[in-house]
Amino acid sequence: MALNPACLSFIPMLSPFVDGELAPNERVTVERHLAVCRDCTGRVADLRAESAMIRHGLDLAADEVDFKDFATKVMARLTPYKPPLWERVQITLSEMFLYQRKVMFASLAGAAAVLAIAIPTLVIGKSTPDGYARPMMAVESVTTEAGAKVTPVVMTNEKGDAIILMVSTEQQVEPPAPAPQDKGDEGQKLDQTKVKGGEL
Amino acid sequence: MKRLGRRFSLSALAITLALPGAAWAGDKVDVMADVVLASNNGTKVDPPALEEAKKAFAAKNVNFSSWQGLSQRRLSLEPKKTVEVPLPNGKKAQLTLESVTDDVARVKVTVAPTTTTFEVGRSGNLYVDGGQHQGGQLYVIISPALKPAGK
Repeated sequence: MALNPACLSFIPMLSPFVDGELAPNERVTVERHLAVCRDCTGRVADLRAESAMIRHGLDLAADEVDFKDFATKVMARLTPYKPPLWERVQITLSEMFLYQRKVMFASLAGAAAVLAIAIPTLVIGKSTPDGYARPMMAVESVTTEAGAKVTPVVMTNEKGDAIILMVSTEQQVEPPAPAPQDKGDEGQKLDQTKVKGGEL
Repeated sequence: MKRLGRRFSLSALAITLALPGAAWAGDKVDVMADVVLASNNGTKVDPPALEEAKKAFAAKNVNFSSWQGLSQRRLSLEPKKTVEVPLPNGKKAQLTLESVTDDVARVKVTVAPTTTTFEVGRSGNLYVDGGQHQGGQLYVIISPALKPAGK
């Protein structure tokens, strides 16, 4: 079928006309031509039908795809950017001093107060090692195994010394009085058993 | 990032607060344990520091003319752990830190057949009978270890 020579200049403009991409004066010109040209009117109808079919086909294709959690999946595939440690520290510090100045100063003041109390306590007040709160040694109890033929005698003095001697009960003439801890009359107790140095 | 900053500052505060507690938590107790032989064989007192022991015994009418140090050990006692000090007569002294309450250490020392429980003090010595040895008498002298180790 031979083309109308007038249509040759309008055919390239039909698709942009359908898509609404023509300038107003071009659009008016095309509309005037369409009013008198049945062929171009048919071409425009074909283009509109084709466009509608493409759009409908795309909609159908899009409906088949599950876009649920699409954004989450995309974000999961992205590698998070982790700046170097020093940069992160700088950012953290700058943000803390910029936006959390009160919290920072409160924390620093608290820490300073704790150190002010702790340092004298630990360094100055800790002149004696752990476990030495008592001024002097103190014997609490002295016990002997069952069946042992000795009796303990404890002698103490004002310096905190405590001497624990084992006195054999076999050598005693009189049965010994049970004296697990004799702090008052220790020397006399020792004399009663007639113990001498090196002769225990 | 704001949350991170807050977490950082709170962590710093927590660490600062925890440090003194951690430093305070050390519950080892050091004592000195000397094994000495007291006898009436000679008049030698070695080391001279044992003159103090000689006088302490003499004050209680227990007289030994010779005092000889055989060994000296610094014992670092930990709760419920027994430390042994061997004696030359085959016996042994076993020391156990029973507890530390209000910074007062309670120590149990066993030299068979006797067990003595005492509270450690900054002064005074504990003389525990260690049995006979070479014609003399062995004593385990438990004394405070107030100076840091190595000094």
